[in-house]
Amino acid sequence: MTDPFTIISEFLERCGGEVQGRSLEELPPPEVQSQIEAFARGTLEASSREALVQLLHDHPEWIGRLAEEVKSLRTNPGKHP
Amino acid sequence: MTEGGLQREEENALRQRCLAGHDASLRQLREMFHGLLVGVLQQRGANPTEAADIVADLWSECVGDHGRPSLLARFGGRCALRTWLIAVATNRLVDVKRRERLRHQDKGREALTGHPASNLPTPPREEALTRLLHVCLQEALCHCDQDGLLMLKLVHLHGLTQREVGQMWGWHESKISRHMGNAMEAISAGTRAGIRRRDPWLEIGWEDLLEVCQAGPEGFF
Repeated sequence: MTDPFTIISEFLERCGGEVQGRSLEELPPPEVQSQIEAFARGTLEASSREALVQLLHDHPEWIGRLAEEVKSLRTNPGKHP
Repeated sequence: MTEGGLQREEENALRQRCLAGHDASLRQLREMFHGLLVGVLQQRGANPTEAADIVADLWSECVGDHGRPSLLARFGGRCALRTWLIAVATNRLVDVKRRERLRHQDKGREALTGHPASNLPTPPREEALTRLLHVCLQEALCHCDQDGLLMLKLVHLHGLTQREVGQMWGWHESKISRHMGNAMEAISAGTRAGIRRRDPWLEIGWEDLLEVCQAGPEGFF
């Protein structure tokens, strides 16, 4: 059975929302990309996290980048920027 | 036949026969779902007359005629036919209640001002509940804990594990699980509260709203 969050996300996407960030991707600025990489590694300071979290919600396509950064650590745990 | 309904293939075959104008199949469809639809509408706030009228209209639209396609042609198969029929009927109930409220408001304004009521068009009836749900979900997502919302997206939409998300935050995965659960509960509560504010007569639970999400908005928007 599909989880409730996926159900509502797919519904909002069909309604024209941008939950999953599949539209044309705007690249994050370098400083944001650095923060995304730090967040993926677990080294982002908590004081910077709130602003980055809101930025990610405003740019759903960047959440995908964050996820890919985390996944890249699965095979390369010692990865450095 | 599975418990509670037809297999999808049987549903599809029944629907195709109804679309072809097969009278016996249309009767079968009514027999299977009429009582269910009337009952669900009454549970959701319709009086017996409203429920009966809405369902009667729905059946009449399942028979396409004079160039008007059957309502069943809009069913895309994303969910069970039962779920879709319930969503269509509930959308129409929301529309009926809103039009009734608007009529009362317009009559009141006319009585006070002496000016005729507005003739602005209202959204098509199939969209009433779906639009309402869309608005209320968006509001609930904006107001829930944003860390929890991001965790939900990372795990459910992007395939991360709760352990990986825990490592991002520097938390144990059990804390991540609690945050996600709390965020989901807030989304559910916020959505239902938003619906109650706008349509306080509508009695509809979270599981039912999820069924509406699965059923629409194909063919509605």
